[in-house]
Amino acid sequence: MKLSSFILRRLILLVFVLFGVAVLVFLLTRAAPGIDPIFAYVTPNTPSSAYPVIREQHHLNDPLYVQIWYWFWDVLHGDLGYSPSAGMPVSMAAAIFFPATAELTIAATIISLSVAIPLGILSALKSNKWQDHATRLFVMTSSSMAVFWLGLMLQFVFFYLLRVNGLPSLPPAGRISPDVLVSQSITHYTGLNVLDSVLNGNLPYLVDSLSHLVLPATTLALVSMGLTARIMRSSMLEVLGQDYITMARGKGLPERVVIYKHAFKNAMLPTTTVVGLSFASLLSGAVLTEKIFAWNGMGSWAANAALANDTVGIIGFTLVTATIFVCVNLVVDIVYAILDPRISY
Amino acid sequence: MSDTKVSRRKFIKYAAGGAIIVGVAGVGLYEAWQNGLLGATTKPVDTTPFVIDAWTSIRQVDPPSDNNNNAPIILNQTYEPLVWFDKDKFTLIPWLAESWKASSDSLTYTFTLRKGIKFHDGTDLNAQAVKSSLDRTVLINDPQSAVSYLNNSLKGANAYSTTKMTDADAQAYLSNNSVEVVDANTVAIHLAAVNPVFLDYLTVTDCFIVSPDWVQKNGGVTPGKPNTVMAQQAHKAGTGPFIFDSWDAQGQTAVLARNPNYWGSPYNTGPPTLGKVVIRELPDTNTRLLNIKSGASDLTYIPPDSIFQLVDKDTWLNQGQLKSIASGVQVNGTYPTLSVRYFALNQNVLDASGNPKPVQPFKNIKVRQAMAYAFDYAGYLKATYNNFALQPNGCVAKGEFGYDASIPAPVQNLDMAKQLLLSAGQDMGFSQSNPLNVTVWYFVGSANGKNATTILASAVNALNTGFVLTPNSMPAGAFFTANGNGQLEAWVLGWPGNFTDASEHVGPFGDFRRGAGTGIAIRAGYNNPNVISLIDQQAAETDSTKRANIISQIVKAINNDYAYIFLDQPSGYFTIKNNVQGWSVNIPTNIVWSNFTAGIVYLYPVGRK
Amino acid sequence: MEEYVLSVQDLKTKFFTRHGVVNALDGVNLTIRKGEIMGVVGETGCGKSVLALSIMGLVKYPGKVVEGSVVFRGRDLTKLDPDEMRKIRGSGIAMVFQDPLTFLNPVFTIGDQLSEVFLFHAEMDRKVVEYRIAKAKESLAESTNDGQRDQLIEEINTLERAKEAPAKASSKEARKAAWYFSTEMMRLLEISDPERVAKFYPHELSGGMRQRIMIAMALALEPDLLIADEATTALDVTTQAQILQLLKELRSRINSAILIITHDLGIVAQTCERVAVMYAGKIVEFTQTRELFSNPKHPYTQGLLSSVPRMSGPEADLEWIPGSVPDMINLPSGCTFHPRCPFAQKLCEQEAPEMLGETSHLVRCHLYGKLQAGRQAYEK
Repeated sequence: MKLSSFILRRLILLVFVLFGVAVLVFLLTRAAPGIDPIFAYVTPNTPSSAYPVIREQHHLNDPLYVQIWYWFWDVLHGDLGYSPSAGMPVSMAAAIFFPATAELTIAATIISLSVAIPLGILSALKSNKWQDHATRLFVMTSSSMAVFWLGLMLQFVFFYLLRVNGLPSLPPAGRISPDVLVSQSITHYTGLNVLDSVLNGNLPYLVDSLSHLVLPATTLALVSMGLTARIMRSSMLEVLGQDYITMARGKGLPERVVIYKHAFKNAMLPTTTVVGLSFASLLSGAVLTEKIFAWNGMGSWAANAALANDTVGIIGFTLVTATIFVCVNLVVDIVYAILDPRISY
Repeated sequence: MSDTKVSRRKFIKYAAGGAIIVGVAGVGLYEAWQNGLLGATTKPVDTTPFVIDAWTSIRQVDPPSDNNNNAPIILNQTYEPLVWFDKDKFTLIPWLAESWKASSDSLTYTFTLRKGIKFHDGTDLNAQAVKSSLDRTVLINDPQSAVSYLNNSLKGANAYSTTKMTDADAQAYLSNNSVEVVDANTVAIHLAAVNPVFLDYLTVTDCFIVSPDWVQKNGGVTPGKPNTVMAQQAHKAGTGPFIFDSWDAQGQTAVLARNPNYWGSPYNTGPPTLGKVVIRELPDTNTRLLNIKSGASDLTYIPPDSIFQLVDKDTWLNQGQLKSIASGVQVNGTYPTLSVRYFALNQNVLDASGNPKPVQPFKNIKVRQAMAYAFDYAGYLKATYNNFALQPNGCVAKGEFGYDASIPAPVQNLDMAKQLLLSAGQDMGFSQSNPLNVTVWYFVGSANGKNATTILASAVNALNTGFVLTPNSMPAGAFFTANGNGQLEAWVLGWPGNFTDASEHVGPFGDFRRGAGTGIAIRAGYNNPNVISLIDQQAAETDSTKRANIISQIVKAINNDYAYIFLDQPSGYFTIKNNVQGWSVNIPTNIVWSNFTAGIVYLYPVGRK
Repeated sequence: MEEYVLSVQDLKTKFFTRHGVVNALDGVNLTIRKGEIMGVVGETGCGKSVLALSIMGLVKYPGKVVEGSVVFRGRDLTKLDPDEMRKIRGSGIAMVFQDPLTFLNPVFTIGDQLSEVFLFHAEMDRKVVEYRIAKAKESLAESTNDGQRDQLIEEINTLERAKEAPAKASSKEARKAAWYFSTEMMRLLEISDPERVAKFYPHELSGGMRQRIMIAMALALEPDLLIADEATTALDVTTQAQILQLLKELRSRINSAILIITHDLGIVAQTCERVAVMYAGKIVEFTQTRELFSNPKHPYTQGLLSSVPRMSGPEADLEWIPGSVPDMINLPSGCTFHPRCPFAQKLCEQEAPEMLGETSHLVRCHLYGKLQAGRQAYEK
């Protein structure tokens, strides 16, 4: 099958997935026992007399299928409904929060892969030697570390200690420094600060954005690299035992070619799946990391929406997440087909 | 913290941050205002950005839709109301208005505006602008804001708020002309009924005056719908000392720029000295601590469970003084906030279908009185707040109009508690051999609730009277739903005031007729006709002495009914760099969402040494 | 004096597993003459594949060559450092494995995998020049324009001179040249339309084609010795015959010696000149193929031969060797074959026999040494 028709078919499937997910989440949020959906729309300042109006306004008195219909109407009108916890339409919330998370996730994944893959290979090549044990210990430790503790330690060392000793330090939180924010102005095309500053050709903004990425991305990467490294190690070990590796050695290929060409590409197959899945789950937001590093992304939006019983917000978030998962899986499948010629779409 | 919405919304922050909400209700002004007042005009502009690490989210910064914790910190620096509180006392003084006059029937207030004030967009402040601003708040009617105050007072506004808010409904409201342009500098406001606290209403951020020109160019007014353009972007539409210059939505960071044409406020002249103010969202306490300790921020808020990294613990707990132990950082305070936390004892517990349950553990006043005697007030304040809170003497917060310092606060007396419970046991048929088990509730993540229920339960259970309390928790959503439906036997929550008037508390605690949203009494099954009639009396009383007297009676009556145990009134303070001077605590407007220190510091006269 | 390509002396390879030490090779001696086709035959698990891997230096962990020598081109391969050994693999000794599907990397094209052999061994600078010459000659053959022909001839002459001291070729040119020689190699293996096949992935080819590709890879650099480990086992009989025929032809073209490792005596009979019979890590009989088939000496060999079905001669029940290959960790004492040997005596349990007999026909059996008398009596 052709790539384009494969993508098209998957995107058509996406529509059905999204519809199913939306209906399911809607029913789940409404079926949760003892939670009145009106609490998403009121505060203590809201007089009781306004309750009936609010119920009417948000169709809370109607049967569930009618409510879903109203929600669906909003979807067709493009804004996916108004999320009171975010104080904006879902489409706008996604447009604000998703780029932040995407930027963090991409940075974290780059760091994670560039450490985890070499470590996994090293671990496999030196299987059961001290390098392997050291690597596995490091990976296990970092991935089982509590995010808040790790984040705090990174902030303490790379921001506080450096700064109070008068050394150049990394920013502890946020996405841009106050002085850069005040002195530089850029147009946001994508919402990804790094990309936007490149598009604007603004070097100070770029440097500042990158420096803000270091600590949160490293934290996320350290926590998520464990799985990647372990998968890489085990699939590398498996591949190294394959006959074609013996064959490659038998052909007299240098060991680096045997490993980085013949073994690597095969070992990347299972790793790609894992990396794709962890990429997708990172894209749906990391609540703790986002909180510690004041990174306003999908995670904080989802947490706020859930705490506020904001059905529309929760559905919106879920839809964005479902879309991410379907798209990432699509990309993984395509990458798979590129890596492995035996697989066709 | 407030009862329904905010508590749920924010509870994750409590859970993470140690669960204590303390803030400043700027009861008047801190003495530093007098000491540190700067001749703003003589000082050169300070170009280094003044950085505030705000601890909660900044979303929706539009006066009619300011339903989040940090909107007021931006709004208070950039917008101004007609009247605001005096810096020394709790009295109201003209702000954008030069003077006001009430009609003899107290149904019309006429304001004369100051002349020559311009909005940040260059347009003039005039009567039409005032009318547009107030009407806009009424028309948008964002149920999450404090618009109900305005609705309760403006003629026709309440009727409008119960409609579907169509264009026709909007026209019907506007035809009342409740905000009337008399001439370019005079505006008359017509009330639906006599309202002694109407002027207080004007101090909430919903009533800040916004340039109508700017609004028209940025989203306009749609009845019943928040203006997402205004709410999501910076707007140069106020008159305040700072201009809301930019807002980085991605980074959740606001930049305020000095308003070079500021008129100077009633106390001062000339524009502010700070060139730029950066307000950024930093929800993590540790990050804020690192920032302020290393000098990366100028002002922030650190909750009581982490504050002893900055001040000496023994000095505070033993002498009540905040002695700084971090170099370059001072912690200033404390100020009482307007929030009152209470333990409600439900006299009419309902079942799922809304009928009273057969066993009503708190219907007997002896039981309620026993609870008040059994509670360890001092232990609770220390365990929960490290003493950054006061014990209230009733439902009215210290600092509010009508607060009566002569009313005694309850004290723990376990013997009395035991006697009362034994006596109640005879009435109700419980004894050690036939115990009555009662659940007391708090929502998941509420440390105050957990502490208060545990402290009460351990004291009461130790009396061995057969009256047994079991603390339990529910997720916030389920908690507020059950609470709103009157199903909880007893629970712990807080109620904040929006402004410094006792009506903010006597109504919710005493008026059974209020709905579950804005009333606590109905949820607690507390219905005392005498209290209700006193509440109606004070609401129509325009003589302030008489009114204060009535309020005092209400507080005493509620206390005598032992309907609630009043647990605490948190104290506020804020953390600021030593080289900052001229700071003051701002007038405590609309602190429902912002009873946090950073939210109400007034930045206009601030400068660096 | 006979010229040996490879001389294996007393080679011992052990696998140090969790359950014990496996003596996969227990003192193997083997010599292969130049251009000779030699067979190693034995049951599965007798150590013949380990022998191939030990020669190639490809024994996998936890296996290890612990003793003995493998002398090739006058050097002991067991003592070479990994890089020198790598250089010998492919160019000096090449190997064709049993299952071409698992031994070809599934994610690279045939052409890519073939080219590698050239890229990492041959003097690519020189090969690039040769490639240019070949291309120029192709154009020459097609060209009809005299002026152009002269020009091409001139170019070929210049290139021929440049062959002695070739200029540094770019990696792109090298890859192109390697690809060209790969397709040429495939052509040699009678693969039709090699340019197209080169772009295929292994799973897109038939088993026979894949085996040809493997052989092409092995022969690409004209090695002195080709080891074919069960190279035709997975193929159907016709393809097997074609491949064997091809191997024979190529042997005479390239003059490589070929070591055929198989369990199939038929293959040995068809192709090999000499043959070694292996049992439990040892060579038990070593002689000319013809001699082995006409006069098998070792009881194991006899058993092997009689278990081959014959279509000619009197109809008889198929014979088999009783028992099975011994546990390589706990080998039987004495002659390792004694538990299965119909002629086993007390001595066979106690003492391991040495290689006996003339050089032209060696056998490891007491029947031809200390128990000779008994055997002769039995034969009578």
